[in-house]
Amino acid sequence: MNRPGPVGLAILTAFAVVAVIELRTVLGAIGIDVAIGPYYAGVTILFGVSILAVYALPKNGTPARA
Amino acid sequence: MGVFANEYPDEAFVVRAALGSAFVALALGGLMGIIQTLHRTGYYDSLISNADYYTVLTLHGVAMVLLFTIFFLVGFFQWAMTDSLGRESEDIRITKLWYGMMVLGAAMSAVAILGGFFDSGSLGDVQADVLFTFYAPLEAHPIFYVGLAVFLVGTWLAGVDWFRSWWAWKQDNPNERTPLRAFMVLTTMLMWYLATAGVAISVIFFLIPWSLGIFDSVNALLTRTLFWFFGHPVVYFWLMPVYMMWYVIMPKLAGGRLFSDPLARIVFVLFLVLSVPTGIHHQYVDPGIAEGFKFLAMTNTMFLLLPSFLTAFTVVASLEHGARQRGGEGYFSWLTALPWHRPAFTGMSLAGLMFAAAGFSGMINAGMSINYLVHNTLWVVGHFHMTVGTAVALSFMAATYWFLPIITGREIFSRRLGLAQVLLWFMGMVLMGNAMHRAGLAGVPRRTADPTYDQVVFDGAYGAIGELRFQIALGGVLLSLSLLLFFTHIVLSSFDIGDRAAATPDTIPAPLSGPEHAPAVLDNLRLWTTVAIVLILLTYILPLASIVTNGGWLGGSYGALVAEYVLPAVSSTLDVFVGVIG
Repeated sequence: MNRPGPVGLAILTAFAVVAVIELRTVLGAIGIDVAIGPYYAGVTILFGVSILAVYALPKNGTPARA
Repeated sequence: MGVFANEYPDEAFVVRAALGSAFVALALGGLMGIIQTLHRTGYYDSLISNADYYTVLTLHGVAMVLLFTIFFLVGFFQWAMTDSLGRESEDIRITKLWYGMMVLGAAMSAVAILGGFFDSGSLGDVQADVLFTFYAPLEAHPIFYVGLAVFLVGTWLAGVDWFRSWWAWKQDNPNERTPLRAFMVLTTMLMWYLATAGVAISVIFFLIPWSLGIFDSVNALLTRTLFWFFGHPVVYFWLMPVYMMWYVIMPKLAGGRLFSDPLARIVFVLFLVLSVPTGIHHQYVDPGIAEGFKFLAMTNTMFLLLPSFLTAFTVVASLEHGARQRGGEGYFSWLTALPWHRPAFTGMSLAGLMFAAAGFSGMINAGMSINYLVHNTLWVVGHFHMTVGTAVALSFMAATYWFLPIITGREIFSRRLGLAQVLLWFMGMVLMGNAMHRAGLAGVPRRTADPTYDQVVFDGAYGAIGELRFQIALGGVLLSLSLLLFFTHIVLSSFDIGDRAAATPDTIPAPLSGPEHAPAVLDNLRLWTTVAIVLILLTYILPLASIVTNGGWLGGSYGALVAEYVLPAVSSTLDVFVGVIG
């Protein structure tokens, strides 16, 4: 798996932001109420780690970025 | 071949003017959108009163779904006709005339709506708090209806102008197939002529005389049915130019070619034939229409899924072809080879994705039994914000990034800014649209300034109502930011800011399977229009006859008079006639 480019990351982030906000609602619906502060703090940390993980991936010229 | 703006300067001027009008309407509608979103969700409800909410709602609806969309599409269609036929307008004065009529009509209707913000009497009771559906018993000032009629006639003239161009081209090229873009414009306009017959009759023969005081009353069910005769196909009027963008622009941006010209023609013929005889599915809860007619409308509506599925196949196949031309490989990895850095491509792709989701919620709306669950709830609002608010509006905005250089001769200001704008719109609409659907399932009504009147409490089946309201408000804010970015971008692109190159000539590549593979009968517009008319008559004659028989042409006392005097007279005349020919 190669590292996505800045454009790919921006599009993935758009999907991730929506998913994160919706996820808290889904958790509430199945009886897991997470306070808003810890939830978004946790999500932000997770998001930061994910970005670092993405940058740890090898940068390889795929046809898309060629 | 040069840049369109230089090749056809007069036509490019009209296209720019039409897009400019569309963007003014978009700005006005967008401003009303954020005001009503924050008011309704309770986050900021002190800016307007609950009474003014309906003025805001009407302006939002009319500006967005009638003015923004239609101004944009006439500009886009003007380009499509001129560029695909390779000829100027037959008479540019006619082209400017229909555009001028549309502007005049739009201004009249907008003034009437804006009058609703002023106290009664200060503007001579000019108001039009009738929402974008404007059927009786809600009544507007006559200037609103007259404005709509002028606007409508402007669109009709535009169609005549384009048919005239096509006819002249046909005389010069008798043995050639109509170019795909011109074919799409012509089928769309034929559908529009059929669809607008209902609303034209309603406005000219009932609503204008009623608002002028010539009639004391009108048959509300009749005006509502005539509105929806137009009100559903108008959705396809917005959607068909979007389909043209997806069929023509997206494959090109992807680096490939349209997969199949014949399939695209079939899709547009299906829209021409099937769009109109579906409107009664908006009236499932109307007690004045028999269930059988509603069932017929539901069946016709479900058939309309076919052109959408065909489009999904053709567009995705074209994109895959383009991606593989760019070196894409594998079952799904080719997706990464697509030009996601281009806001035009990304915006239209996300719009298509949202349209797929909206199609599924549309099937719920169209299903006769399950519609009762969501009818008149916020679900419906969520549905059309994902269709017209995303599939159409986002495609139009995204296409602008590709289209602007063609009609101005100058490149856009910044692709990155454009990309941020379309992504913000996507995020905002996913949040708002999804939350509206779920709030609708909880029974939250639409078209209500304060849904919690009478201390009613809604229980969300999936998430709390407070959370859904937050998501709606957040979505609305993101959409407003996106609009702000869009307008900033348009303004910056209009001036000589930065080091931007002049636009280079752009052509639409030939399809992989060209028009020579399409059966000639597909281009027989007379045949398809006749089929469409027959279907409309089969679907509408009996329900309309039933509505008039039961409620009279004008409802109320006039209807009783008609039943007492006119109908027996007609019946006697028919008896005499039958006796004579018998």
